[in-house]
Amino acid sequence: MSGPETVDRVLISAAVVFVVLSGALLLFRISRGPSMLDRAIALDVFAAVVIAGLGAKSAFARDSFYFPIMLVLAFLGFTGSVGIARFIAVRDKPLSRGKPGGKEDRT
Amino acid sequence: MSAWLQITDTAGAVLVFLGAAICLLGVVGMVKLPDVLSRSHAATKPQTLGLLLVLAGVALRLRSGMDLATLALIGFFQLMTGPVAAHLVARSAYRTGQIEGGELLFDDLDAQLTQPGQEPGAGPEQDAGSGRS
Repeated sequence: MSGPETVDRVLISAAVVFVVLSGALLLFRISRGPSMLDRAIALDVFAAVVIAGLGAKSAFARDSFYFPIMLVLAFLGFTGSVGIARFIAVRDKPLSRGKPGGKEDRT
Repeated sequence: MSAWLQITDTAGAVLVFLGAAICLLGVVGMVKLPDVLSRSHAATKPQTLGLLLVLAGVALRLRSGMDLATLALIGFFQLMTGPVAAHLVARSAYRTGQIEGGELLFDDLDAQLTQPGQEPGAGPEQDAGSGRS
């Protein structure tokens, strides 16, 4: 009985380590990202990683206490990146590359 | 009977582990890849595949009706909202000029942006307003 339980605990603990490492790398991308759109994508992935971490915690402890939080994150996690892409990224200065169309007049 | 429950538990733990590993792979791709579109390509791996594997693992370990329904709803909402955000981010990246046009094989959005009126419901007065970009 104790052998497979130990295997389960080791696997889920390794999963938690992977999730924490993913979060650290995503924080690096959020702080470093050259444009606001990179930060928007990184924030969107960060919500998914938080859901995965809460799922790993629920699988470890076998409780469903954090399921409403996961549901709300899955439902509302995309609004931040949509807001950034819709309203904030327009103010972001483009990089030194050429515009694809070249004829679009943006002020 | 208890052996089958133990097998189900271990399968759930393996699925959670695989989902977390796929999350880590996708995030490594987000750090390493150079462009907005390629990062968006890498971002879909943790969002859909890794998260669905983690949710399947949790469902195998919990095994009660209400929890299964909640987990199915979480996966459904993640599948619904992921493409919306990715589409808006990619469109905004195109409009702010962060995509090199020479590397695209097909560029249908350029014709729709530079010739207003071809697209239904996108007149020139709407093009100058706040509704676009």
